[in-house]
Amino acid sequence: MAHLTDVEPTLSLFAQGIGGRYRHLRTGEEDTADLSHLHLPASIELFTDEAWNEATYRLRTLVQLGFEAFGTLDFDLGHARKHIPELVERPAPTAGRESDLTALFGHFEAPAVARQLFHALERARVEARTLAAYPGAQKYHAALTPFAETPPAPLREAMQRLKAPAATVYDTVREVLLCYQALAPAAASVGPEFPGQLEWLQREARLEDWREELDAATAELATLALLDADDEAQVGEGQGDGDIRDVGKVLVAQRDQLKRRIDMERAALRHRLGDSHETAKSFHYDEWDYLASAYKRGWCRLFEETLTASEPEDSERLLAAVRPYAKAVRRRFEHIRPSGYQRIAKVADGDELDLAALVDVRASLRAGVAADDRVYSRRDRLRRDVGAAFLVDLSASTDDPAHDGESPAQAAGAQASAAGANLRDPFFDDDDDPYAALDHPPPPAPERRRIIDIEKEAVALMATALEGLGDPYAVYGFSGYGRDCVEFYVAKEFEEPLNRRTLDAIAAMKPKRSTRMGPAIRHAAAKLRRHGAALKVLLIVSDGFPQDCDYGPKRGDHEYGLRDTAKAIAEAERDGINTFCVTVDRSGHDYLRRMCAEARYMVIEETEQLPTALQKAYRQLTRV
Amino acid sequence: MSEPYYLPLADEVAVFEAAYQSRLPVLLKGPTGCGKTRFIEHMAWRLFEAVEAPRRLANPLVTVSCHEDLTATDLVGRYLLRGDETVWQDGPLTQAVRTGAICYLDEIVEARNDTTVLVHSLTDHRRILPIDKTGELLNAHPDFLLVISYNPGYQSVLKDLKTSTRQRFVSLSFDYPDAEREAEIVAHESGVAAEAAQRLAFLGVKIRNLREHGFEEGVSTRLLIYAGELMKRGIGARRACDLAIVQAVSDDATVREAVADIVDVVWP
Repeated sequence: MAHLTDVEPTLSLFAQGIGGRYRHLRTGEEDTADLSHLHLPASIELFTDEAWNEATYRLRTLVQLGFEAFGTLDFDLGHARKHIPELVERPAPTAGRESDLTALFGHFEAPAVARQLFHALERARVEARTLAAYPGAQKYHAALTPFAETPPAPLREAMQRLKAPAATVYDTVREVLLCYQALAPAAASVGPEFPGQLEWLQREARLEDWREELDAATAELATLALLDADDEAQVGEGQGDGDIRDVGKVLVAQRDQLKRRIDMERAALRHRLGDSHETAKSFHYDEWDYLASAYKRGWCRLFEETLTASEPEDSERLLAAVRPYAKAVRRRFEHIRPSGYQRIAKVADGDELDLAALVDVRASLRAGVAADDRVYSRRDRLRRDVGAAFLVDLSASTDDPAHDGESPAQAAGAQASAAGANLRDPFFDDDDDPYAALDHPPPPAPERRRIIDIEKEAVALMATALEGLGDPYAVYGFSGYGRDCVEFYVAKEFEEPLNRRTLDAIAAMKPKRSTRMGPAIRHAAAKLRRHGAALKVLLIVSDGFPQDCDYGPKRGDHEYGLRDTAKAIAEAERDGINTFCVTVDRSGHDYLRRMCAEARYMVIEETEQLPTALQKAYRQLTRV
Repeated sequence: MSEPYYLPLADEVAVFEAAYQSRLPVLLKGPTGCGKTRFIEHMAWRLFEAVEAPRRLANPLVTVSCHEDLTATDLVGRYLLRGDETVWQDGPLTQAVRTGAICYLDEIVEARNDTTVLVHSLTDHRRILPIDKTGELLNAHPDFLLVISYNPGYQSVLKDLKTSTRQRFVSLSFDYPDAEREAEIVAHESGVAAEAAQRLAFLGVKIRNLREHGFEEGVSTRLLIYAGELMKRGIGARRACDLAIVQAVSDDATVREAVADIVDVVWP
């Protein structure tokens, strides 16, 4: 038996290759793909040979994607009515919001029958086209024939005709009309009366078109605004071209109407097709069940999403809090960066002759003994190969106020001053610009600082520090609710530079829902492994023990979540990732000892110590 | 030498000829295996070796594949030991500057920083190459041209080309050709039948949909040609694609498996 969770990683890549875009794999009975999902059975057990069951998954994927690739969703009623006279003979339904396909079925007395016929015939057409385009899939299709039901005679013949290489969706409509006449009286009561999946998908595809229309309208309005401004500048105030104004008004009204239509349609679609997680990618991870001493296969679904800036004030606040101390922290980290080059003597090839070696060679030759021919010297760059990931807990509890005290950035600054540079007094600063700190005076402390604010500041400070050090690093946040919806937010990937966008993304981290740590750690570890640095470091910043609504048999029982997290950390360590947990929960000692690798955790009493703690941990972990 | 095959995708041939006439240095940008090197070979042939070429030169193109240990010394030259004495040996760049050839520095950003600075004085009106070790200040031959290539895709941000360097070149962008022309190229280069070439090009399109997964490049035209050549020599299509494409595109086992699955359904 092949399980979807087992084949998912490969199958999802396969689907992206074939279909050209990423889609989530979802278990379900529908047999068409929408713009963001493929619907596949949870398991397939048709063959004894596992490879063939897995191939069946691929075949289904190909056919599902075929509906988009071979023009089903492009069906246009106007075109059909123009070219199919038999259709025009039937009364057209009143136009509504529904898709062109729904309107097509409205031409029949029994739309449900037409719908079923269309579905069966179109499927046959798409299947034939798919198999022609991907001949390698034919053997899998042939193997499935014994399992297929035989359709009634008129359908069978129609399907045969639709297998012609040039058949289009309009040919399917022609065949539907023929079959309907042959079958309708007998089958008038068959099938559901509500629109099927395909019709919804057509609406979804149409939504994309509308969105493009909206973009075009917005662009047009912008041009118009420019024209209008030009006009005013030339003619003088009050003399603007009335025509342009009127056109503008009409355009604005049209655009707003379009916008409303899109919103309504999107709401309807979301209701029918489910939340699309359009910008996310999904992954499955196992979970350790300590009660059964076994992994639950593919138990958690994790959505990875890129954080985007929400409010500009957030990043301003973050920048203002971090800026005064960034320089000092950065300098402290620059100290540990191996710098410059090292000259290696006596090598076989290099940019310069090594004089000492040369003299030795001459001496040896004169003495008549074999000489070492390595007479060059070479400059080698010294470098670190460290990759670090910061995983920040974004659970709802991080919304709680932090303890009173100096700001974390201040604390970091204080520590930096202990290390040599006094930031509080710019005149003690031996740096090139002694007035730098004066330009950016420390901001007045906001009234209510939350744990999340301090987490963000600590991470932003670390980011600045690592920019100075040159180690690639990534910043992730995680939260979620329930095993089907672990949320993983990417603020910065390893390759990305620290710039306005990534800073905005860090600033956009917000308290969300629960703390299901296991899958988040597994995902971050997978990303670290893929990044492939020699020394991999995972720093987890949290404010309490792992918990989620279904993290364990009993809701109040934290043991299950603790054990799963411990397992996830152990897996990461086994793969050569150095993990470290920093928790601001004062009761953290109790569980961190059991959860983390030995001596790889830190409980901080005051949230304000977080930035210092992170820096210390980082330096210890990456001491090369 | 016979004409190296090159199928122009846009106006790149005319642009390069115009740039050469004014001796403007050229930067070729684009993913690996899309035809940059072949293009420059073709242009060197057109300018120096074709029957109607304006000038003649025996070795008109000096190619240096840059790597991270490549230093200025490797390009300019070094003292070698010969018997009891040290003799100066010109590096490839110096040779090209002396003879008036085209010097092509492939993947320039891979080289150490001192090499990029070295080419600066060759790319502006000065056209000189200072050789520190011999104290020589070499004026470039009037026919000399510097061409560099750069692949913005896979190199990390740390290895981005410096603006001060990039702004000294006329930039020509390359990308993989569309399926139809890629099929034509594959058919010509490997000698497989048109239908097989079309399938290979189709495969290329599908695999490139996975660009972001550990191999930003997708599969190169070069790899498709390799697969075609293996097929031409009697290796089965699946096996040829496995050898030339699946094993080459990625180190990630999952990605390889997915690519193998795509290969599997594409071939009859």
